[in-house]
Parts: sequence; C-alpha cells; structure tokens
Amino acid sequence: MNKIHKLLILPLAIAFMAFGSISQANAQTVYVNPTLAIQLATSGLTSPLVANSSSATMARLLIDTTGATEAVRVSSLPFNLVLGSGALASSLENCRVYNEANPTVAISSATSLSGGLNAVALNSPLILNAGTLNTLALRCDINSSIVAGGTYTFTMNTADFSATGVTSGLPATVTVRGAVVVIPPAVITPGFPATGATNDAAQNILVMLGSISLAAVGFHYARKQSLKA
Amino acid sequence: MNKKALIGILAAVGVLLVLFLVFSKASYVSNSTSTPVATTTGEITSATAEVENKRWPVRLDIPKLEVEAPMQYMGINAKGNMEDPNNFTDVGWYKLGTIPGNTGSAVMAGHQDNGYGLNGVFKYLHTLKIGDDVYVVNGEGKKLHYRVVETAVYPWNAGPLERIFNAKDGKYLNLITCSGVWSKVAGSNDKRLVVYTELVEN
Repeated sequence: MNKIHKLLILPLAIAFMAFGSISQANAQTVYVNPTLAIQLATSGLTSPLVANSSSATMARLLIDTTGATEAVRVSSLPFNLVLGSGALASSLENCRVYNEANPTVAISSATSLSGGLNAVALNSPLILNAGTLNTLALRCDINSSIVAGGTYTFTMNTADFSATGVTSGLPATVTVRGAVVVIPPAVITPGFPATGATNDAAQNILVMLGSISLAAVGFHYARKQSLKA
Repeated sequence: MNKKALIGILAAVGVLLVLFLVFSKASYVSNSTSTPVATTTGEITSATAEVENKRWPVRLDIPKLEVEAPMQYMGINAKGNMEDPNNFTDVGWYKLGTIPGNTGSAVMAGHQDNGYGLNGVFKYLHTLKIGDDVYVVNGEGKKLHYRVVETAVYPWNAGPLERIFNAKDGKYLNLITCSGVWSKVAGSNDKRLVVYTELVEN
C-alpha cells in the first residue's frame, strides 16, 4: 500500500468507526436497575391480637417505586417471622396478603406461617408502576392457642426480596426498613356467668302481670261494647 | 262484674298463659341446626362476622338430657364475668377462650330455668354422671364427642377459674350453670355447677 492510499484509508476508517458506533448507540436504550423502597409500617396493625378472631392485620408494607424508572414485578413476599416469649406460629392461620387499594380481595392463597423466612407467593405477579406508593397487608386468623405475652415480630431482609423491572427484566435494587412487633393481650379469665333464672324473675313477673291486666281490660271493654250493641 | 265476665277474663288469662308457656318452651330440645345467634351486649360481635369461622360451635347435644341447644357466642360483661345467654333455651360458648376440639378448655354456659319454673336448657345438668356423653356440632358439621370426667359445685364468686377457662393440658369442654339458691349479694344464685368433660379422640 502506497503512501497516498494510507492517507485516504486511515481517515475513512476512523470516520467509519466513530460514526458507526454513535449510530449504533442511538438505536439502544440503556437500562438501569429499578429501585424499590419498602417500609414496614407500625400503624394500622391489629392490637392487641384477640383469640378466635379473623383477619388480624399482622404486618403492612409501604412500597415506594418513586425511584424506579419502570414498572416493577413482585411475585412473592419474604416475611421473616420471629417468635418471642412463647408465641406459637400455629396460633396464626389462613394468612393472606392484601393490596389495600382493594382490601377485600386477597392476592395470595391462605397459608400458615412458621418461625423464620416465609416466602408468601402471590396468586399472580404484582405489577407496581413506577412513581407510585402501594400498601400491602398481611392478615391472619388468630386461633385459641395464642399465648398471652408472646410476641410476633415481622422483618424483611433485602437479600430475600426478589423484584424485577417489567421492561428490562433487571433485578430491582431493594431497600427495606423497619420491623413490626405484634403482641397478643394477656388471657382474660372471666368470672362465672349468672346462669340462674331468678336474676330477672321479678322483671318477668311484672311483664306477666302487665299482660294479664291488659288482657283483662281488653276483654272487659269488648264485653261492654257487645252489651251496648 | 258478673260471673260470665269473670269467666271470660280468666279464659283470656288462661289463653295468654298457655301461649306464653308454649313460646317460652322454645327450642332447646330441637332437631334443627340453627344459625348461631349473637346477643347484643358486651363484646359479642355480629352473627354475620362470626359464622365465617366454621370451626366455631353451633349446637350442643346432650342425649341423656334430651338437649339439642343452639349456640350463642359470649364475651365478658362489665363485671368481668362471662356473659350468659340472653334466653333460657340456648347455650352460650365463651368465644374468647378455646374452640371446641382444640387443646384447652372450651366453656359453655346455660340457664337452669326461665324464672317461672320452666326448665332452662341446663335444668338437669346436675344429673350428668362421669362417663355420660356430650356432643358439640361445629359450623363444618363436624360432631365432637366429649365425655364427662368430673362434676363440681363452687361458690358463685370463688372457683378454679384458671382450670375452668385456661387449662392447656388436654382438650376439655366445661359446662356451667347456676346452682344453690338466690343470693341478693350475688345478684344470682349463690353456687355454680361445673361439669368437666374431655374430648374422646377417635
């Protein structure tokens, strides 16, 4: 290759490389991992827990996607349950997750919990649009085995939480803050019920006498009317 | 007032009495599986909410006493005592305690008469003996079989309440009614009869 060729080819090659790569970059979208901030709320929980009650709110998650650049998909929620002071996981039954935007419809099947990590699968993936605030709640039925003074602490570890960008498929960067503690009340032992009859006998007798009097007056009036006729 | 009028009045009273006796007898011996009833006092909540829990009892059967009683759900009254049923034909289950079939002490209470001498649902509870059978039917239709293991009478304000309401070493059903005589101080009868039963596991 002579000197003239070199002078021509080199600038052409440089120009091609430069413009070629720029045009290629313009055709692509550069994605960044979406972010998700989760706060375990301490308000709105059922307190105290009552034996034999239904749908007690055990935990609430405030999910913030204002830092996300795209919608985020969540398929399960990793509730970490810590049992304290003799509390039994088996006291909690039929635990379900609800989206408080539609609080009457559960978005997960009824499940029981155990101490430690409980990955509660959602019935269908939850799509959280970017720039929104969403609240999810974990509700359980409480059976009669609940232990007075026991504690239920719910936490969530960032590493356990799995969420992905709907468009990019990139894993979301999740931060979790807070923990909630739910405490059942001391068991109340009542006194004996008043199951005798005499406690309202006087009242019953008064009602009876009143009825008799009314019947007598009515009959007397009716008879008087018939005699007049 | 002449004789005929007097007879008429007496007849009217008689009719009223008969009607009263018939209706106050009600259905404590009944074959129906009635819907649980919630009373309106204390901590008792609405029946609609309560029937959601199918494991809660809906009927108590005691064959020996010919009792087949519908269930009411009781909380605690302002005096800190278990509420009592609002009629003389139903049985009240202490809903803040143990669900029948679970480990613990389920407790049910019933009246002994209706204030006119008519029998309440637990009028003859004192005749139950050790070994007699008691059944609880729950909202799922499951029939739980209990057997009498002990009977005891306590003062109205002093009894082993922890054992009666909170025993956790077995699956119990404890039946309570009044006993003794009327006490002005107590505002009720002066004794309570407790029949302790234990679940017969199949």
